[in-house]
Amino acid sequence: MALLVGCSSVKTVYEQSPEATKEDSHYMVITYIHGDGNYLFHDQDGKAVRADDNALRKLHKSAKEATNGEYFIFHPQGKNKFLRLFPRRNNQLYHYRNGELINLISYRNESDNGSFLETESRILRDLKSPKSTGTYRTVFLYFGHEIPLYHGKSYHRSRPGVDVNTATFANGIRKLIPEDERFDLIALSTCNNGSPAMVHQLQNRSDVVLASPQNLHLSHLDTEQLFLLETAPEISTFQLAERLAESTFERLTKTVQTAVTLSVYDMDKLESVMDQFYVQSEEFVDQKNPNLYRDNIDCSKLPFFASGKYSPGVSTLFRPAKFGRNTGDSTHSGWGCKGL
Amino acid sequence: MKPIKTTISATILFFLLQGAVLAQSDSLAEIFKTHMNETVQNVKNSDNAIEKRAILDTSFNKILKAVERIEKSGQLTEEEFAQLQTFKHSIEEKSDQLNGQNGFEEVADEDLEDFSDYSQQAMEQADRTLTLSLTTVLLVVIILLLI
Repeated sequence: MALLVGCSSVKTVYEQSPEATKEDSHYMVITYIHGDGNYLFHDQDGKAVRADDNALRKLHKSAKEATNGEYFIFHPQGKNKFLRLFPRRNNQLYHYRNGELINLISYRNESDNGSFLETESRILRDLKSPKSTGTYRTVFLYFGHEIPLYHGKSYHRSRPGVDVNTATFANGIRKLIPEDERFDLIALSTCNNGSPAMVHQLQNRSDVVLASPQNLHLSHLDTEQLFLLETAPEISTFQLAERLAESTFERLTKTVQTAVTLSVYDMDKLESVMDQFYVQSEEFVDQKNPNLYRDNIDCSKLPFFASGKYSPGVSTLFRPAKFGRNTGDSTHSGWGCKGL
Repeated sequence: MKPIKTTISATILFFLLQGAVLAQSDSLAEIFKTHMNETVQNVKNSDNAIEKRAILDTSFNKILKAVERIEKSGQLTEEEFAQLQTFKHSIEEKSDQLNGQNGFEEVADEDLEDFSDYSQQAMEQADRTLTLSLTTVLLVVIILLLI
């Protein structure tokens, strides 16, 4: 056990001896569970649940089962200063390697105005194992509220000076891995981020993206299917993302009355059309000035959408809401846009 | 000695109040969610469709009244106003559907419990959340608890 006291922004609470984890890992899962905001929801019995704690429980379980993988679970909870004066480390990183918790680190952000994911990327660089040779996969899972199109100063409750939007998010996750590498899968457990803007920003950052084009309940994505990285390591990343989507879809369609939409995007297949699609969606926002706080609508309801162009490479699961204006919708393009 | 004591006490009080202020401003969306959860439980505990409908109607009206009071307070930034309009629109749609207004078919008696779940779950999505100021939060609390 190492204890670094004083003014350091990072404190190692628990550290296992290196001998216990000398085996190589075959994949890495980096997760960021945003807890610095309002994440209350109620389960079917009316019991209050914190969405970030709920996601953390699921990920601890997945990490313990990952006997050939490495997990980094960041759980920032904000409230960085006691009485707004004394800095404190209220964010946690749980680092598992091959099913064992090898580091538990408390940290705080060094600045109230830094860039998004700056502190986490620095910690990660210090802890990450060298890649093993051969096939190695890197997955990033994000749990939080919708990452807005622009601005996003109120996203962190405790750090209102930090912009969180599609551009700062894409820049932030780029720093988590070396510049010449890309993620195999980025999964966004948020609302409204299965959008042309987000997918465009993630081009060249990931091979596959999983996201919801419209609303996603705060009970979030399920992670049990990550176990396929253990039991079926030959599975393609697109198939892995589809399994994650299917398992979440199955649970949500049994438990919620709201619409459920999950899309998996093949970034290579979409590469040639994303610039045009993104520009069209931006022009629509500029010209029509929709309320960006409203939920997305299906992009296919907007005049510029060309399904023949933008649908290949997208796999979508959709069930309409039981109530509301769009109960009659039977299909979904897989893309969410800000509409009127 | 007395001025020092007074200064220390005032400083402690200042920080305690600041802590309370921060705690309050964190919880606006949670106040609405807790209110909606109580509504859903009350709907499920009732075995009378007329009463279930009345519980939902009263709940929506309380929220809308609170929102209107906040709008009239004139203390909102442009961003806060846009957030509040979105929230208000969402509640108005549910109220309309409950009562069969503005192009909606009235929610059937046997669907009222599912509709109450839907209304709660729509409020508990991973979308952007209400982040309004302290004064507004307190106003909402007072209105929801006293009317």
